[in-house]
Amino acid sequence: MIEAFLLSLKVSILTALILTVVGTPLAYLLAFRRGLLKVVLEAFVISPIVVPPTVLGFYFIYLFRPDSPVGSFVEKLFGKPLLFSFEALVFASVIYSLPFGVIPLRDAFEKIDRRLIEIAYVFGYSRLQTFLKVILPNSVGGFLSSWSLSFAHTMGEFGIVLMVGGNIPGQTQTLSIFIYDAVQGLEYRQAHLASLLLLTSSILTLSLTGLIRWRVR
Amino acid sequence: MASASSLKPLVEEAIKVFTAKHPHVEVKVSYGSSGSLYKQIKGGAPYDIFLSASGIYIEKLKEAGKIKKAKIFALGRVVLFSLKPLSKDIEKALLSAKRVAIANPKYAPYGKCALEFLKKIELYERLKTKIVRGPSVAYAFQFVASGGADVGIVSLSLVLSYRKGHYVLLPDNACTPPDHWIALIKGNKRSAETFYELITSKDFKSSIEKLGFLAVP
Repeated sequence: MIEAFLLSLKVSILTALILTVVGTPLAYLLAFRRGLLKVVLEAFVISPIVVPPTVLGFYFIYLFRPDSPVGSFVEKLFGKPLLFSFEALVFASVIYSLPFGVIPLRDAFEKIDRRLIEIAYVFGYSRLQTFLKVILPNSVGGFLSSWSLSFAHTMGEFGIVLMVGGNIPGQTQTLSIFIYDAVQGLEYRQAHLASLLLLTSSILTLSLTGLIRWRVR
Repeated sequence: MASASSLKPLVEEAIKVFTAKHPHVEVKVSYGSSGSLYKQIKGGAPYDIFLSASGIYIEKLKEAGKIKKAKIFALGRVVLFSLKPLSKDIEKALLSAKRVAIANPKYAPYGKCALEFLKKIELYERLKTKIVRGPSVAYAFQFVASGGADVGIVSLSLVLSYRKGHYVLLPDNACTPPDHWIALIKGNKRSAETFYELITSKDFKSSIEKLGFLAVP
């Protein structure tokens, strides 16, 4: 159970961190660009919510399998198959939690007073400087929301892990899979304990980010 | 009626025969894992018949006083399945595979059989890191059918209804074969009794065999 719990934490923290990095430029585009590209991009970012997780997982198998372009490329690069690996799990989680990582950032960027940004341009700041010195400090709350939502969403992820994980202890057997297995195996005590662990750890983490958010304000 | 998903082709065949004789009776089936259907019935779900892919749940329902009568009517046949042509030598085929898909041995009957077999031929330790586990034999099958795993230990009935790929039957003494039960739930309708008789009748045995199971005398 502890092994599964630690794995869940590892996947969730990593996913949330990757989403912060990948999500920031995406959210920037969504917040400051206009036109068809933005609209289509936004729809794509939100789409993982529409598709049921097991369906998403089903197609990830096709994407990751050894004879697919992605699967064979990764296998050549790292010498081990991508599907049913920890890396596949993280990649799938990033896509699955994409809306939860990007949308809070987009909203935070959009809320910033445009005049602040314009003043920065008037003072000769480049786009990057403006982003780092004006936009970033004004959207800490958005980053915290983005981080905690994608963390929590990944902690509770089940359908995708069931499909692309393959339930390998220590590698892809997350806590939610562990709970499912325990219930199926009629080991209800184990299931209750693991559920309690999942819930308390998530609430603790979320409270902690909530606290930081409050202090920052 | 509640039926284990692994029995779907068989149940459909039985319904075809049944409705030809009794066109006025409407048969409704819920498919699911034996474990979750067991929980529903225990909780008082209004099923007349329960077709289970494991005797454990029948035993538990008997203890709970839910069952009028029950009988084994078929045994599962287990095969090694692959999309690519397979060597007749099962050990060789297993050893040359990169990923071996099985159902979860903790609670899925076909998974239990697979693990028993791998331990018996003393390959389990060597294959341990290559094994991926699906929550049911259908998932394990799908891992192979989608190209995610190169071989899988699955049920013959699934392979026969898929009509693609290659298989080798596991030897007769490979494992205790998965037993398939039909149970009449207390408070059943009269027509359910007739259906029970049909499935356990001599005439239905050839259909059972044709669909990849062993009929039980």
